[in-house]
Amino acid sequence: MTNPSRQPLTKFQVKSHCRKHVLFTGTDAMDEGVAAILSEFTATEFPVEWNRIEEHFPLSNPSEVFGQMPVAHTWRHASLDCGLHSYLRNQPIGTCLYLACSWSSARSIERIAREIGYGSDEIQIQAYGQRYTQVFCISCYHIHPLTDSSVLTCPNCGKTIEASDVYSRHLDAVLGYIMVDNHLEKGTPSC
Amino acid sequence: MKTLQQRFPFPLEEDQFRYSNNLKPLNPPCCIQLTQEYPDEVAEKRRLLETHSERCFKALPQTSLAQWEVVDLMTHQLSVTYPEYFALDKDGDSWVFQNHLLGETYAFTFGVDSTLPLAPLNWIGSHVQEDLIIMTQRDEELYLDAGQLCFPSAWSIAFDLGMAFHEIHQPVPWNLELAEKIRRFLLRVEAGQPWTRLNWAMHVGKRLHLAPETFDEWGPARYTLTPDKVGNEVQFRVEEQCVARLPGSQSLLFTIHTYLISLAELVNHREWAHKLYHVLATLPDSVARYKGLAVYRQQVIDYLEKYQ
Repeated sequence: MTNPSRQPLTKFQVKSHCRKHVLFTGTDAMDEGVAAILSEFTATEFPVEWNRIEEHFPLSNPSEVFGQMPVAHTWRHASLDCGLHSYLRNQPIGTCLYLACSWSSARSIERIAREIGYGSDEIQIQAYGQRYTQVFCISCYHIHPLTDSSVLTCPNCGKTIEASDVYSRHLDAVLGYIMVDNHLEKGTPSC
Repeated sequence: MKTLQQRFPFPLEEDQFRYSNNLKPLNPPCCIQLTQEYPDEVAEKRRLLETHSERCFKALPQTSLAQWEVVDLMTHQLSVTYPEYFALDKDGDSWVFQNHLLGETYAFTFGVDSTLPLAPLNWIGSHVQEDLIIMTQRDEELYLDAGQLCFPSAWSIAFDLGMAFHEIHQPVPWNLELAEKIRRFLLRVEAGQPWTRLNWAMHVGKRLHLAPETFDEWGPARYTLTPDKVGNEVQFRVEEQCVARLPGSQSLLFTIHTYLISLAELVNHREWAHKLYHVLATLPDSVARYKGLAVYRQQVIDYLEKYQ
């Protein structure tokens, strides 16, 4: 089964300092866009590795779409932290990462890559889908799925919190402030 | 033993609000101030670290070198600047640090985490009144990667850990260009040349630990303030901030010393009362909200007017 709501992709920018291209594509990335990107990377004559992320639907057989292009890894979104550190750390200097996947996957991969030491000019992102999916309860530190309403009762501690638009890449969640009689406190450090 | 100093660094230099980069060279270059509140504030810090460690101390694994640089810097500054209160003896990597104020002695191996009772930054932070923040510098950006934060002014290190400078300070209700200038300035701070600035806010209730995690405990007071309580309950809060480059890791150390004074005490200094009155009267609404005093600003202005 494949997802009919595929996301179109444009080409990534191939930079002169890149000596290896590592591509991550999500379930909803359109086949045609992925094929075009892989072709452009291959034309640079530098190594190309293609990683697929199984975000919700099972992935189709890649050879049916892309012929002989091998898939280096298939990752399950829920277990990206397992193994990705090692995989990215073992890439040679000059490796560039290209993320064509959901915002949730892209943020996870980018966070891990930056922790290892990849710079901003070594990571390109074309993401799709809902930008934020989780809220961090400032009272008990539990992280919960975001709903349509910005005000929610934390299922862990019972406090009423409001989801802000302040986002933490480290936590992959927006900050949920405690509400007291419809009042919030939004402080920032030392300004 | 010499008496600890009384100190309140009043931050307002003009009679109207002006948000500016008020960074100045730190001279003498010591990031630590000991004041009469030392015993109480260090005790409070240690209580918070014991009971709410997850809220008050965070550190990413890659900050170990920077943390030990902070231990190096601060043990030397304390023993040199305050020799009557602190001593440091070194034999290679075998160090002995003495805190005479608290009657404590620590023998440890420099660079070996297991020889200290706490993580290095957390340990040295438990000997000073200042909060300590480490920001690592990479790719022309600053990231909050470690910190001991016991006296926050309504921000959370548990949430902000790992954030870049511009992400921490969003949304700034004024002058994004100035924020960017400050960020670029910080990127070029050099080792051996620390800087300092003063920042201020106001809160209701004498309390150093203003964590958003407990807003429901301290937040409601601002909505129930009455005129008869303004003098004793409203606190003028000043942060004396220092920034120093750690040469080994190229990280930045920020120290934050928080001072509180009630309005009733502040008005004993007529010039302070005059300046604060005029600054509050000219403060933009957005800044008043950002500094947490929009709800009761007029009550404070009415109180200060009596001392003009």
